[in-house]
Amino acid sequence: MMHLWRELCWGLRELLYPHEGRCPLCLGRVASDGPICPACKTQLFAWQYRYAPCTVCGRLLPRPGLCRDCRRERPPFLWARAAGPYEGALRRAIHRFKYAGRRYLARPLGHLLNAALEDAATVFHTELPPFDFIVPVPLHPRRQKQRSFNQAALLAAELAALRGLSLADSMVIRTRQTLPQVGLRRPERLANLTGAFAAVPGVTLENRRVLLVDDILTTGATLSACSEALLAAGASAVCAVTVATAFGRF
Amino acid sequence: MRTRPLVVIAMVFAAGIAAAYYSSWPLSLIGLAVALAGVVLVLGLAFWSDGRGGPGGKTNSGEGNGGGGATGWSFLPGPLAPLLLAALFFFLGAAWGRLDLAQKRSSLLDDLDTYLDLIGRVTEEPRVYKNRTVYVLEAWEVRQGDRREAVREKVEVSVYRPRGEAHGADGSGRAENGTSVGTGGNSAATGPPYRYGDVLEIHGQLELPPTARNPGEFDYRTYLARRGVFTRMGVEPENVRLLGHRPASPFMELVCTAKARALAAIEGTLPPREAGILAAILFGDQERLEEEDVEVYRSLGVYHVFAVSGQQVGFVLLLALALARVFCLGAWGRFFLGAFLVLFYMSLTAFAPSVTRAGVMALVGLGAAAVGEENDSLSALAAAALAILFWRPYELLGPGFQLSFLATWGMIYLQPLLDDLLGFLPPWRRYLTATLAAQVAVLWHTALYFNIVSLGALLANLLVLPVIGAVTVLGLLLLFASLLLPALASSLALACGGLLYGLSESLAVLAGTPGVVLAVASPPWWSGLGYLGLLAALPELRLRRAALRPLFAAKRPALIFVLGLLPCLVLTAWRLAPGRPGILEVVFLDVGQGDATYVRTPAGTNLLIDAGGTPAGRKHTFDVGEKVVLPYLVRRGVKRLDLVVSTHPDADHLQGLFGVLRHLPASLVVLPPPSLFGQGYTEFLTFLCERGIPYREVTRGSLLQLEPELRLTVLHPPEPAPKDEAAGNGALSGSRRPDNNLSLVLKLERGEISFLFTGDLEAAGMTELLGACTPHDLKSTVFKVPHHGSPHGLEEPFLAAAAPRLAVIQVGRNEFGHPSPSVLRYWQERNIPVYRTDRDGAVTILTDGKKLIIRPFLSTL
Repeated sequence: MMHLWRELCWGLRELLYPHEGRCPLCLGRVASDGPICPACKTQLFAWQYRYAPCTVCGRLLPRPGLCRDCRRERPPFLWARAAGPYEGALRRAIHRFKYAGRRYLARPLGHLLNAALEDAATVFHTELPPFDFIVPVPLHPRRQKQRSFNQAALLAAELAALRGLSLADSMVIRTRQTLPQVGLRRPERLANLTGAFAAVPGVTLENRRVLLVDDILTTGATLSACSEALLAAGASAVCAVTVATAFGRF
Repeated sequence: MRTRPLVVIAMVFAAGIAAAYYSSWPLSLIGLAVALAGVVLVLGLAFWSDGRGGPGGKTNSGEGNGGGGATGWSFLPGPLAPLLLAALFFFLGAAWGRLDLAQKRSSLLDDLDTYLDLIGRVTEEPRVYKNRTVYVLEAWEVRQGDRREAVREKVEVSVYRPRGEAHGADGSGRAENGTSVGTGGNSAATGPPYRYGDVLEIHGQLELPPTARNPGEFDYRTYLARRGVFTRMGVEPENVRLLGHRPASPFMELVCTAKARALAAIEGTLPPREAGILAAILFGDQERLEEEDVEVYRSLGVYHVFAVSGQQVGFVLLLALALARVFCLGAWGRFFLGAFLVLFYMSLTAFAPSVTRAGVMALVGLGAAAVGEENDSLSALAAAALAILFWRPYELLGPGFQLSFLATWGMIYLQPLLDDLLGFLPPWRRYLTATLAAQVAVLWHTALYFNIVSLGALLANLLVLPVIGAVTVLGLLLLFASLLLPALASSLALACGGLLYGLSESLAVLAGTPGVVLAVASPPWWSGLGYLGLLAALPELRLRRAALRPLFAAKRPALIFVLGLLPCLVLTAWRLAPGRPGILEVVFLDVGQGDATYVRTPAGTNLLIDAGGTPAGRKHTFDVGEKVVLPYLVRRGVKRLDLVVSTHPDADHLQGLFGVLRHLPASLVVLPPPSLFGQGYTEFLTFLCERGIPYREVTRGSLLQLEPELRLTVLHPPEPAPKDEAAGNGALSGSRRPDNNLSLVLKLERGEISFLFTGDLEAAGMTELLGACTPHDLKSTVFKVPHHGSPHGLEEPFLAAAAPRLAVIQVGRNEFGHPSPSVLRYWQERNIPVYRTDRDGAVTILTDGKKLIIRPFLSTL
């Protein structure tokens, strides 16, 4: 009965808010061959011709190698990758997803995350390490209540379903409320997040590989802080994947 | 439209409802079709649910088809599934429409036209007109003598206001409550004596609401039936007794109280004109609008501001979102607050189709935000249509529904196209294109319903919308202030009034510009289909313009030119379209008691013989000429009357001509020698001279060769003797009713068919005429029975000479006993069919000179 009711709700939702035939990124019409319109697709992959991701943090650089920040101090995660730069249609889509509450975008953006992961595999010329858990970057409960959802958790759920991995969305928590990272400079960002995350007491991640998921990587401060918490809980390796990333300095 | 299933569903559902109305499929057959399509679909659904799960349940790649959930029709191959689904909803619509039609019967039909007591509850906020207050009563019980019968049906009750009395005094026990705020001094400010939830006992006669009597007329009976009201009652205030107060729902009580308070504040502060406009803008109550304003707003294509819709609901929504921000509500909190306010506002405006449409779309939009989906305007529009059609299927055929949905559709569907085409304009063009898109979308329907195409609509809308926006914001604040701070409400009303005064004055100036309105004939239905089909195809064509490149090799300005030219061409076609070639059309209009006949000749010449009128001494001052005959002529696209005939100066023939000739130019007026009628024609002749309309006296023997194959002969009255006019027609002047006996008698001949128009001729005139003519002159195919079927017109030798194939009696409710049973019996005995305008409505007769086609408007035979 519950199942039928759920089905019915989903059917109704599908009818009222149809997805098909509309590009989730630019809201324009799409031909029948895919959810993302050709223009957006071109825009989304255009960076690959002019930039290469930093081998570690994945921020986009004019030529292959390590970015300045990573050369100075390696982040605690093994590597991070993103689907594209934080600009244009992708940036607008993330804004609609995060701030305008368009939660349905979790699915198309989740597909983008998946594509980014597969790209990472080709770059490293290896199989992806077998991740044991997918962990979304947590929000502070108060912020989550305000926004009514955690965008990273929605993305992680999509990715977990796509890759058949297990989702662990209550392994890390925010121990204190931090300022929004938006509008802060790099040192402030790092300071803002130091010790902001902690693994839930009692959780042990002995020899577990963890994939962290977030929406954007700007300085990597959030992901670093989160990774540290996971490593402290015993994880053997932490990688990260985000929808969008910033341009790095060489 | 694979991508928007709901749009397809709404469209086929609507088509099904329309089909049920215009066809006579039995319900069982429709039910069978529904069952069949349903079973197949349910089987399909069973397969469908296997293939999909909740969010994240699907594992196909992002590039693949439908990265989102699968659509509803992936279970059957090829085009079969959508077709099946469409068929299902088509037949569901047909079934729903048929059920609604079957249900739309009054249970009170046996109680019509007899005095009884009706007990029931006022279920809507009463509407206050100048001379009456209209209540919708949910009747519970009918009492007549000892009979007590429980019923459950809505009845419209009009309580007339005694002339010259303020209606605060006409209530039996509520006068002191009614005057809570109003101190403005005008009677309207006191509010109606009874309000929502009052239980009333009313003594009076139930009757059917008036129906349309002439082609294209507004049908009040159908209009009320769509709202589930089938009978009405008109009573004086002393026949209404208040029994108690038992509101059906406390929510509606609150709504009505709020509205009454806001109205009191508005009417207490503003002069009636501005108060009426503000009430219309805020609540959609159009009953207080001044007639001139209605005319001005309609002719400028801005009347839509009085149909509460998107703009008002949009501001309500904005208010809700602002409040939600103040209270730091989450997504669902926002949804519920917004939904509450929107529903509250919808209740205030009595759920008119336009506001329901806007409200449902707002709810769907709020829902999208709450569940985290992208709102799709077209699907939301379809959802609104389905909601309304489910609730009241036959709103579909009402102008309110059609205009509202078309305008919105235009703004959603055509606006991007226009925006694209006008891309060379600065970004503020959005404002222009939205207005233009809506105007283009409703163009055909405004021609159909109002017989106008407004050339000033775009300009007027650009002027009106910002002002109305400001007034709406102020008005909504007023609405909430009137609940909390009455003092603030008055000052807000004053601000609105100032804006509205300025607006109305400038619109009046704009409407006075010559050529701002084109009067058009009612377009035929197929042209509407063509027009809307073309509009629907335009964006698609533009999208596929690469394929059409050879056709559209022209540059952008040329394309705009073509697009602009297209409506002009269509309009010109209407304007130039002559009557059906070779067909003579004679329409005996139903003007109540009185004569009015419209003739369109094969070459498109327009004739009008009399125009009805109210017999002198009636208390109503309803101008038949202006309200019935003129609108009919306008609907037929008559721009100029080529010949107007007045048979004689009785009020029920002549009076309506004043109203018609005030608005339509005439080339020639023909009348019998005025000197025969004493003072009868003095006023009319003065009127003609003032307007510079030429007139000519005609008498027996005058011949008007209208067209090669069309002759109009005057048979009567004889020319007055040169010396003593009265004596010259001694026999007629001395008869029972000299005016009637001297009325014009005309014979219209086309081929083998002839019409005899006999005015109000009575026995004396007939005898005289029979003596002066050969029987061949009187022989006719269609005979207009003289003097509304009066027994004094039953002169058998004359009627025998006429020997028509059919007779028409133009008659309405009267105190003379017309038509007389003896007259009816005369025709019945001779097996000659008689058409009566009081029973058949307008009678249209078409002929090509050989055959006759008769179309009584109300086919009761």
